[in-house]
Amino acid sequence: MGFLRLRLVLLSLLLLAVMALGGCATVAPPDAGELSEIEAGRKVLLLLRLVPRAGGEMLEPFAQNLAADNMGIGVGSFETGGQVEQVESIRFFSEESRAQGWTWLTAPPGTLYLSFLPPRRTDAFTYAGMFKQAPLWRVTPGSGSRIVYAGTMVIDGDATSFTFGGRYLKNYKNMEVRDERDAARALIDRHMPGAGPMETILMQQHKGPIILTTTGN
Amino acid sequence: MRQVIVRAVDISVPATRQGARPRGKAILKVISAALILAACVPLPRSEPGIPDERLAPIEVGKTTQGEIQTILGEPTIIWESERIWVYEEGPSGAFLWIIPGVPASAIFLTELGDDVVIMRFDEGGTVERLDRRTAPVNRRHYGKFLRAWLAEGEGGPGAGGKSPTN
Repeated sequence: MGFLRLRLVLLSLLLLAVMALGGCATVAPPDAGELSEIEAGRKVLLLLRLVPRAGGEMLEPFAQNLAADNMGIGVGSFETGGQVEQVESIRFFSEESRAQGWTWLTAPPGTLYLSFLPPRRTDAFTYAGMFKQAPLWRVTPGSGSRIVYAGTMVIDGDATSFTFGGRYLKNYKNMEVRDERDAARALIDRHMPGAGPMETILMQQHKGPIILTTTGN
Repeated sequence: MRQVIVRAVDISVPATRQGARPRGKAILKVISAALILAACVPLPRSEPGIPDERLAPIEVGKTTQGEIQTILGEPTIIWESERIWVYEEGPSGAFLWIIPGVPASAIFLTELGDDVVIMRFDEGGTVERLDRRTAPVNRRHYGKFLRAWLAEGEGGPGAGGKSPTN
């Protein structure tokens, strides 16, 4: 029995390690490869800020070190037929910007669709399906866009607590996009000096048929 | 065909000798037997999401975007620059996999793809090409699927006819 218990403990530790490593968030600006993709126009860097709030108080959106953090982000592009898929590795410029809810991602140029969900509290397949049902937000970078600030998404809802501390929004009652372009510009200047102009194209809620565009076509 | 596990179901059989520890060779035999006995049952879809009768009034070279919208409703996807509309019909079918095992067996589905009605309009807004196709179940390949269909119509590989039932 003792041996079996030890094996169970080891298996649990291994699973936790795989979960932590498999979905780890990355705190770093784009690397050289990503920068060259952005400069060549093959990718667009999308910067956004997420501000989950409960009772007017901001909750840290990326406090966990897992893919399904306090919030999940989905992105869809022309390549996926507009269908949003969960962002596996959420990226941040710094720990400070992460605590403030700033995140960035790269995506193929053209119309992009975004969706946001509370953290995963179900199996991965069900959670993936939930992204398809979540409200869609659309942003369409222009053909010359390289760095785009898509807005600050303020989300109000009801908070609940994790077993081991920390709070997150369990539901989203109201979502609103705000413009914090000056703060976004400052962040880009600090972490990507000389990267070129940043455009502000605020995401808009999308309903109806998926509209696909590809720059260069 | 890409396999996507839709649902795994545990149909465990209670162990007859609790606490017994099978040896390595026995485990290998069980795994081998399970793989040999694994069954795959095709589950074709009974009828298309958009029946042929609904497509019948559509005439390539004559029917306009507005008329298509009246007949079929709003498309699922619009590729604006290429004037391509896609109507998704749902999964084209699935394989039901049954893999027996001891103490647990598994049942899961792998989807074959998503059936679509895809059409392109000329610059005047009249349908110039219309097909039934199966889009990849893995959405990461959807862009490639659309580009390939476009290339076919422009004389690329696999260029074919304009029949609605193609």
